[in-house]
Amino acid sequence: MATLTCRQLSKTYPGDHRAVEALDLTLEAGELMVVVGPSGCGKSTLLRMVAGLEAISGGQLIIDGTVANALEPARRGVAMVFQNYALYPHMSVFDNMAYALKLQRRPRAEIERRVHEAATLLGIDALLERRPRHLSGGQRQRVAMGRAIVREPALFLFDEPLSNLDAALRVQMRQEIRRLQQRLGASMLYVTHDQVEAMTLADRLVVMREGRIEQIGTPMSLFEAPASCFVARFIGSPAMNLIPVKRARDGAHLCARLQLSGDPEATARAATLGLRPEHLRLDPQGELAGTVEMIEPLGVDALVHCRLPEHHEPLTARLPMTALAASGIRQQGAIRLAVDGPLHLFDDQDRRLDHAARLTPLPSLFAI
Amino acid sequence: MRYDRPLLDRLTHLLLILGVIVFGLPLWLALTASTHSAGALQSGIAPLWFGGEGLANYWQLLSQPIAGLGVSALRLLANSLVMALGIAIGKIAISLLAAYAIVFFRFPCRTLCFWLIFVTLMLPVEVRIVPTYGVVARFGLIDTYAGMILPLIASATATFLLRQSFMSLPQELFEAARLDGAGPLRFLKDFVLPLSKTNLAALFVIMFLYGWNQYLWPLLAANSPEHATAVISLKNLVQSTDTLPPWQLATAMAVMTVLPPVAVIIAMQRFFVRGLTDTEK
Ligand SMILES: Nc1ncnc2c1ncn2[C@@H]1O[C@H](COP(=O)(O)OP(=O)(O)OP(=O)(O)O)[C@@H](O)[C@H]1O
Ligand SMILES: [Mg+2]
Repeated sequence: MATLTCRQLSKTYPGDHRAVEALDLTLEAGELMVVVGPSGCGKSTLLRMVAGLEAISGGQLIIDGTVANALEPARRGVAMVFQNYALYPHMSVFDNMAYALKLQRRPRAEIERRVHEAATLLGIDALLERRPRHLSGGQRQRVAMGRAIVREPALFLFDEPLSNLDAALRVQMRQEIRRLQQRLGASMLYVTHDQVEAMTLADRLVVMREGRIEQIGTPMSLFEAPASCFVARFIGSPAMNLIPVKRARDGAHLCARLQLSGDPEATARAATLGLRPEHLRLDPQGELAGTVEMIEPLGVDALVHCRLPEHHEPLTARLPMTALAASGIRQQGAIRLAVDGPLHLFDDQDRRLDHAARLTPLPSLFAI
Repeated sequence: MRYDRPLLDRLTHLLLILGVIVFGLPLWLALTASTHSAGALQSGIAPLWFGGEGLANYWQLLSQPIAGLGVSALRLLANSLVMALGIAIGKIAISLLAAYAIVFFRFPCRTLCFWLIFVTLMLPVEVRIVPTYGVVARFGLIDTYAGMILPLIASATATFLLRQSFMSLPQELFEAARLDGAGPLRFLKDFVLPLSKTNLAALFVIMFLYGWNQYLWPLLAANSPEHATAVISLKNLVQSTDTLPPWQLATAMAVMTVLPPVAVIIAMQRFFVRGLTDTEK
């Protein structure tokens, strides 16, 4: 168990490519921190700097209170699980797991004990004599984790460890990693670009974008209060609807007859309105009127993609199949939805505005 | 590719058999001629079947000094073996380290170093024979094993082949080993060598044959009979001014000269076969 602190950590690749820029981060002891972000945002680079596989261009890397910038990888007390496992192909599973201990010149009996303990923990004790190429993907994944566990590292690093597994196995391994982490009380830094994995595993979640941290927090705090449109799009599946707000002389509108009201600060600065698909409900009196473009049944729920008048961005709602069937809504037909949850407002810099607001339908001109 | 055409099958077989005959006949003739007495060979007609003098001929070569050379065939074969092994092992050791440095280390002028090594492909010993002889002579290495081996043990070919082989090792392997605490020499010993086993075996065979078949350089660098090699002795055996050459001895020596490379190929063959069916990368 260790703490990890990054202070203004930066990485500039040759050719002046800034992969990670002035990153500040603290990983508490026993915490599982997940780093997510789109491809190329610098997740692997961050992990490799912590591991010591990549030279640090600037800032400080502090592991357990000591500056580790120039420490040899093996002396940092970190173990890494690679995306393609990087098992040693010419060694048996046992030797794969025992290799680090052998290099540390541990007594034979201790090596045997530690490898067998880890193998039992992961359920691979029957495979110890096999070569990696005679293992299935899931088993290889376990061996890779076993190799990390055996070393009893202060900090585990995972770089998209589950991305080569099929969907069912991924769910199972995800739960196993979580159980294992709680059992060992280990500190882990875990990189993924699967947001479900990120939400379910993380004690805290770091969203990265172009080498910088966009937001850090618990998964639920990121879900409930995304700091920017980027985070809002990234966390949650299906993604949050982001609809531009129109400005008129009498205030902010979503559509011609749907006004944004509430905190004057909010209505004055809001440029984008965010609505979770889960926070929309079928309602004949609902304030949002649109046409259905496509219905995607998921089983219990369906995703209904609608189009609001005057908007190019589709609006997606997650609605129960039963309600949908009862209402007789079909493709290309009209739909009315009511907002049944918080509105998220973002300013013209895509930053979150923490002010209360609501949508108020204006009386129709023709109804007067 | 498989074609179901009987005529084509027969034709290809015929060609193969012809090829075997063309390549095998000289060997067969050497083998049969080496079992006849000198008198039987004087007619100038090569016998196609074995005679009864085989044991005597081979025994004479191995036990008695060869006329004109003054050392026995055993000594010649031993010299050849030392030179061929020295060249093969030396070439592999040097190019292994060179390729390892080029692939796994980032040092200034890395690419330049590689190309400099590569350019030496254009400088085989035949091209640089005068300066090489001068250097070896000045070091006092004429008529020593070192003098026969050292000028030949730098190999651009082997460096190039090993470089390609090392580059196909996944980078993550190196990184995982580094995290496990393996230093550069450890990594070479525990990963690079075992994973390049089949390539090294193939390279060893090629380099052994290269060393064994050397003619020009040992002719210059080994003047004394004590350092003469088997290949060079063949010329001495058939070179007699007044009498007919002892063909039975020359052919027996030729047969014995062929055998060690064959043994090396057979010994290393299992690595190639394993390498084809059982890749561990
Ligand atoms: N060795 C390198 N030399 C130069 N640029 C590099 C190098 N490695 C990575 N980069 C660049 O740094 C940026 C971050 O790369 P990184 O591998 O950290 O992304 P990532 O977030 O892990 O992406 P992914 O999800 O695809 O794995 C990318 O733009 C990449 O092109
Ligand atoms: Mg990556």
